[in-house]
Amino acid sequence: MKFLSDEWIETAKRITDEKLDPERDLKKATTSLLNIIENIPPDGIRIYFYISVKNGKIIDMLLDKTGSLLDKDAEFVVTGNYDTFVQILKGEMSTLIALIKNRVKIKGDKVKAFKFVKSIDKLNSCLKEIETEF
Amino acid sequence: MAQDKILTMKKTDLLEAVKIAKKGTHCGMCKVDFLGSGVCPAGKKNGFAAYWPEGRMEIVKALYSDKIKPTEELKKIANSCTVCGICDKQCNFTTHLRPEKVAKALKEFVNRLDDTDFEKIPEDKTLNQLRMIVGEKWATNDPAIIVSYTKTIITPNAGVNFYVVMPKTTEEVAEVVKYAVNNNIPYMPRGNGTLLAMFIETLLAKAVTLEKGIIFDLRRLKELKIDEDNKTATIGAGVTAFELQKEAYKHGLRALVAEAEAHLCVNIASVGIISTWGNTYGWGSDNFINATLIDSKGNIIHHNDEDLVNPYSTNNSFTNLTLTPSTIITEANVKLHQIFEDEEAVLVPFENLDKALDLALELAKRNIGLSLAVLSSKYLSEFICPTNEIANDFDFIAKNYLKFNYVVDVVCDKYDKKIIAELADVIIDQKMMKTLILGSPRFASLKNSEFFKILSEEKNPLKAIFAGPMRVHLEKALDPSPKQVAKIYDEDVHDFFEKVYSRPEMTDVVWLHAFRILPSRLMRQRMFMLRGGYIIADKKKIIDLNNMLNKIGDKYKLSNALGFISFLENGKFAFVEYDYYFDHLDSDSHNRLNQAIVETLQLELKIKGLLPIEYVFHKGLFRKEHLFYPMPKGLSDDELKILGEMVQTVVGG
Repeated sequence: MKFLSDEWIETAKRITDEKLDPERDLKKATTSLLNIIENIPPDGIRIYFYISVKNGKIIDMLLDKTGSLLDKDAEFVVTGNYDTFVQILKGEMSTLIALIKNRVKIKGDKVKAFKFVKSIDKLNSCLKEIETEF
Repeated sequence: MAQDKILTMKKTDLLEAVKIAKKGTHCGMCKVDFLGSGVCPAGKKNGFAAYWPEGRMEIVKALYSDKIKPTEELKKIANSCTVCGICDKQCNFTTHLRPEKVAKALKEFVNRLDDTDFEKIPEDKTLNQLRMIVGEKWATNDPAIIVSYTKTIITPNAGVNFYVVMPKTTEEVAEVVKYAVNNNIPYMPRGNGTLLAMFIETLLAKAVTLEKGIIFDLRRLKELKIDEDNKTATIGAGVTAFELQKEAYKHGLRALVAEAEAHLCVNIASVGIISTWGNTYGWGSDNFINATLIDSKGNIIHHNDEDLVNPYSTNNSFTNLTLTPSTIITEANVKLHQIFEDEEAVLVPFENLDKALDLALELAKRNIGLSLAVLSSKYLSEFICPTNEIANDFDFIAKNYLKFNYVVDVVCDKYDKKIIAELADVIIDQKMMKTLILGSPRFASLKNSEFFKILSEEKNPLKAIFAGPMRVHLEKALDPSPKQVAKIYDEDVHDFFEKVYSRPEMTDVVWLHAFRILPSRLMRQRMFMLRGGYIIADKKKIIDLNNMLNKIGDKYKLSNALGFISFLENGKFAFVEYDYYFDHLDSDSHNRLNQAIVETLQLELKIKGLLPIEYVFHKGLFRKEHLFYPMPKGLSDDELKILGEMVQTVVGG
């Protein structure tokens, strides 16, 4: 299924709900993350991908093309090019390496963000299981 | 020709060349005319790394291991070598290798192939676009060119899915970045690649390299203008430290530069200019007035733009780790400094670091010395001796017979020299340094001599040999001459090196400090990795750091030694470079090095008042006031745990 399509989001919700353990994988965290994915082919559009977690349970996964999700005031905002997000989701590059290599920019408390890096990588490896057409 | 026949030819024709090529460490000195011999004519004309000696080494390795097939570009590359021998002379001086044999073997191999054996690499849309921007000749996707960047920017085992561009102007760089961003193509700029060559050999390889996309080789940005009235220089990103210094000296001025081969703009942006001259000339933004950068959207920005948001803002949190640049620097306007006629190098030898630091800190606090540093005898030996073996024996004699483990190394005027003479027991002056440089082979040959054994029994051997009556005997015994040094080189280059060492600058210690042609010898057929960083210049802190790095180096069985300690802001801060040497061809050596890097980084981050070198990367454009005030307070256990996870992720990729 097409990356970032409605169908993909529904599958992502289901698969993360099934596979991620709130304590072991998401450290019982309560936080929110807004990914801003830029230059999406073919037209170079921008998509906002919002994830909200409460006590280690994902409670929201939302997509938007208008920027309205900015109003959610996510604790962390990660911005990067489409290709970088694809590499991360395919497991070719970790979120931290993307950050160190300046492929993504992060807004928010970096120390706190770095605490969640492993959790984000676990989330990504879950999403990797979806048969995705990039 | 049949593929199996080509394979057999490769395995026989290139075998010896591969052995030489593997020893190459990509110091980058073959692109600098530091011996007055000129540089590789093919490299100068064609630009791409493939046309330079170090690039040919990578090509030979790639052909031998079947990573690439012969291409039409390969034929051009191989035949562009005129077998003029310049590379042999340059490389012999720095690494003691003979790369011409590699170029010859490649040429002979290529010319034995049939015309039909060479693949024509098809153009694609991206290549066409890049060529539209930088010109037909200066963009390529040819694997023979791509592999020549293997050890200096490409992620290990990443294949050849790359483009290389060599833009000529800032505008061309900006256009290529815009194209890359709009088309989701990763990119990364590269200077001469020396620092990257070092880091690619470590666990940081994935974090500092490009895994696919566009490589910017900035060599063609060659603008170099001196403004004598304002004592400044404007330099393009392709100008090397040596080229700028040479031009500045013509005007009686001196620039704060990195090692001779470093592209100065790139060095300014990466780690600032870390130098013994920092004692007077400073670091980071102390030395540049303006910089032209391309941001991550392809916009051209200037540091002096009035509407620019504070470009100097940063922080020194452990999370602020940036191992690739966020912008591409294309030009900088740098300060130049006055040269005094009475400048002289004065070296004060010491048995222990404690006493050496007493003197160095006293001088730094009083702003004495244009250039000021504490060096280990190992570092000094590596620099002044023409081979590893001679350096090792020189260092052995210094340590075991002369009790000469450290030296306070100062370039100063005649007034400062008087003060130093008053403070020091023994001084090694310019004349003695010339003796040691030209007499180093004979000095090293006296390793088992009675002369040094007797000398070592003196109460103060350093004083006896450098300030006492034995100095005359030493000078006689060493018989220092250009001819003597030249003899250690292969016979066919004796005459050349005799002429090289006859030139006054080759034994002029002030010139050697300013032009920095000797540090490349640290990469003489083996690699080193630097540890340490900026630290509050407190003697105990520096000694504790030195001892910790020594202990970890020994724990992982790595040859290790202090490199240098230099100073900033009247002795308020010090930069400590501690070196771990390792064999880049030995995987066990790599493993031990990587463990040592992780352990030292964790220990360094616990130290209050230390900013590890990794945290200075790509912060060279910043003001040190932002980076050093306040210095880090040392990580808590909780933060160290997060760091541990970070390191695991970085290692994993």
